[in-house]
Amino acid sequence: MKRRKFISGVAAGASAALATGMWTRPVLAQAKPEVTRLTLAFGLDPVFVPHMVAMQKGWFKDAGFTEVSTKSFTGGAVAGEALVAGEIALWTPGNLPPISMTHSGVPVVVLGTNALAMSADRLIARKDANVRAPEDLYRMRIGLLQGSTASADLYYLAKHYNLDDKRLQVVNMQPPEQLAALNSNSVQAMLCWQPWGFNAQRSGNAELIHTGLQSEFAANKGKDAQISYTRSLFVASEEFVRKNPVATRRMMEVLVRAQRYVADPKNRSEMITLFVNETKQDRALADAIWDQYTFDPTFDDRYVRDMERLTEYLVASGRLKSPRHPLDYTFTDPVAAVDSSLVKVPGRFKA
Amino acid sequence: MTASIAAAGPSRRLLGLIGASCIVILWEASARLLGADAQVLPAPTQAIAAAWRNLSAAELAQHIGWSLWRILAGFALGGLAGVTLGVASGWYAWLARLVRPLVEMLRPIPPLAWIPLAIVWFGLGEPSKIFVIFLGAFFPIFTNAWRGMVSVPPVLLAAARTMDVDGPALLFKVALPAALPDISTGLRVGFGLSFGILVAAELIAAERGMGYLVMQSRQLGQLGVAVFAILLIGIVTLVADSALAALLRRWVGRRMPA
Amino acid sequence: MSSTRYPWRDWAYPLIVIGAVLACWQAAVMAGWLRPISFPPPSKLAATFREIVTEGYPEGIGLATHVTITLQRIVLGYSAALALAIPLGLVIGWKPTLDALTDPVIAFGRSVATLSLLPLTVVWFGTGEGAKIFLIGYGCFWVMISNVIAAIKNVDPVLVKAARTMDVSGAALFRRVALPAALPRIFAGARVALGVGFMVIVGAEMIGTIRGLGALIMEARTFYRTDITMVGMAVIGAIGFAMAMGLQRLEAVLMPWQGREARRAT
Repeated sequence: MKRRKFISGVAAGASAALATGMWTRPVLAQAKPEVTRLTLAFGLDPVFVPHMVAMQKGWFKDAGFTEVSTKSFTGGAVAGEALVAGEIALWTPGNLPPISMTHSGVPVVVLGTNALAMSADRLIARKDANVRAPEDLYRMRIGLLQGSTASADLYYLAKHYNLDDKRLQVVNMQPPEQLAALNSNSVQAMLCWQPWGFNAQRSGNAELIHTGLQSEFAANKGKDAQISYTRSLFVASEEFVRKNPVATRRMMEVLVRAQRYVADPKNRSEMITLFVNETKQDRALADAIWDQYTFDPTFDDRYVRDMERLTEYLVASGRLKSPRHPLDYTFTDPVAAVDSSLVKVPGRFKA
Repeated sequence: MTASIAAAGPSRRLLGLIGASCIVILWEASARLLGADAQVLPAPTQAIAAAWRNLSAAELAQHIGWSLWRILAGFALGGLAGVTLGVASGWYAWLARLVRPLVEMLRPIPPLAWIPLAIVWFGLGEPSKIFVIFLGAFFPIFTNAWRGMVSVPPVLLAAARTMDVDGPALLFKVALPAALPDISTGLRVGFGLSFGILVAAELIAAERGMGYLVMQSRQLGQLGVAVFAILLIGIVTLVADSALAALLRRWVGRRMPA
Repeated sequence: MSSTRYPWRDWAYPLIVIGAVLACWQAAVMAGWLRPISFPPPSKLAATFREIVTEGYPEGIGLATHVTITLQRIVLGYSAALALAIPLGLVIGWKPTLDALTDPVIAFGRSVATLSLLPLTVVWFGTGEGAKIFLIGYGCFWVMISNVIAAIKNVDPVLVKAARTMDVSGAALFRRVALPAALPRIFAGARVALGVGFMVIVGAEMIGTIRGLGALIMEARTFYRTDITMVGMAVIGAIGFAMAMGLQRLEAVLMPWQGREARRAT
């Protein structure tokens, strides 16, 4: 009990230092992480910028991880499968996959929110499809990737505007095919995350109809209308967090620190440059989509609500039978150890 | 007339070049004339230009190198296993009864379905990718090797027996050489499929490779580079395949009955 | 491959092997050597099979639906591929000039992965059944044509020479000597091509559908139902096997002169 208080005291002091960004090396004697090698899942989205900055500035090394490597996955289930196989320590998916996983009995836990990405989900339609009102969606084919977090958006869009989602014609494809289909008029609309929305609009013959948070329908242009509950989450396996409590805490310290750095408006330009250099995408794209992501590690009611919405979607679409409460597989202790004010709603998972 | 083995080298290669060039020219022409933009179907020149902009020569060499290493390793393992098992199954009926149904049941399973198992068994490194390529190469090689053995004219074997050749000598000196053309075909088809399966194999957390390049450029919306990568795989396949074919022609040609 | 005296051996041996593997697997999971997350035990797989047959996955789409749709696509794609590949392959194999001209093109075609073709397929064929049938047919075509060409090229020159001495040449030579001699290899090629047709269904069914065995496997992977992935693999294996056996019966009917074990040394 005393040791716990000591460590959380240390962590509180450390996080205060972290928050001011002045801490450059471990000041006090801390327990060493159980593992010194970390493998992180990686990708090309802006949600991976915290990982990039943490590695670039050596914060992982400061925390005691001598070797941090990344594994890139070009989308799909491979990253999750790798987590289950113990090949990676940290996975950063959208919030739908971990919900599916825990309900399939796979022992994973949510360690934190990386970013709120609702605004990055975009419904794009061809200009010549003349979409003015939500009902216009009935007469078109909509490209969508089943199983992606964005796929829930259409369900909620239908709910919000009182559409019959059974009448919506959905064509299941991955984003590159969605774009090709939109350009060749095999589908008239697509619902996807960034940078696909940006790419679609760049061609000039498509327009934005709705974002995850805001409508662009002619009828209610600019009105707030939340249809997306997409977050980027930090996910690890139960086995990892049980076996390596110190490493988990250290890892979350580094990530929270990185999130705060990325979120700081002063660092925007530096972060965009880092992103552009790492992923070789162009700056105009990065600039356009940057503010659609909010890097915020807070655990609050909104987190619970977002997870519940997606769980509800999975039940409604016949892929899930007995829903579990999101907090059952949410492990908030590591983030609480970094900064207890971040955890307004504690998770029920205990290591 | 079936000229098969004795086709002359240089003129054959020239004809091949002509055939390939015709296709490329047709493609270039249709892409340009149909007015399609580079986002829908890039012409070969557009694809190459896109790659020029985005890739350095060193990077390209790395991509090719890593893929080739994986393919050769997977093909070697698949070829070894396929030929050994195929020949043995063709020779021993009891083995064929055991092995062939199992092979026929495993053959149709898509490589994308094997990936989760590959990760659990072999991790995220090279072995899992080599395993997927092995799967591509093994089945055609096995089938053709088996077929080759089973098609050996019984007359040949009977004749050899009358000359007191039996057992292992019969297998290695008479049956196997007669089966070589089929084994060759199997090896060539298996080699081609190894390249075809490369993209699926390199989905397993590859950082480099031609298949990786295809998927990566897809994700980035760079259709030009993706088409270039497909072309690249095709060209490397051609070079490697003709090398294999030449090797097989020399090897089989020596043993072919007059 | 059946022995005329003990036909049951065809079925018994493989079933015994499979049974043994399943038993070991079940035991290993129960003993804790294999993790049930990565290796759902056969007992769970049986329950999952019941689930997707009765309730379906996603709910409402039963296994029967998935199987029917995929079989339709495979039959159409495979037939189209063979209808093109066999005549073309026979002609190309017969004329060495054509063979030399097309050899690189065919090797190239073989190398293009289904996944690589997805965006282009959407542009050319849209997102309907045509796209899936094309992708399945594409995979089958190149393998089939390679095998048909090789089948003609590898016809025993002795046979051809012998026929020539009997004044058979040209079309008759082709039809009555080369073609029958090439049939066994053509059938072997058909078997390999069918395997490839199944192999590509996951990629082919990534466009515009959630119905089909390939789509089922993709769904299962996306939602981390490893048990459904494995049941899907088993179903594909079983169906592919059944179709291959069908091809074999056909082969036996069309080419009764192909003896089997008569000459085995054992």
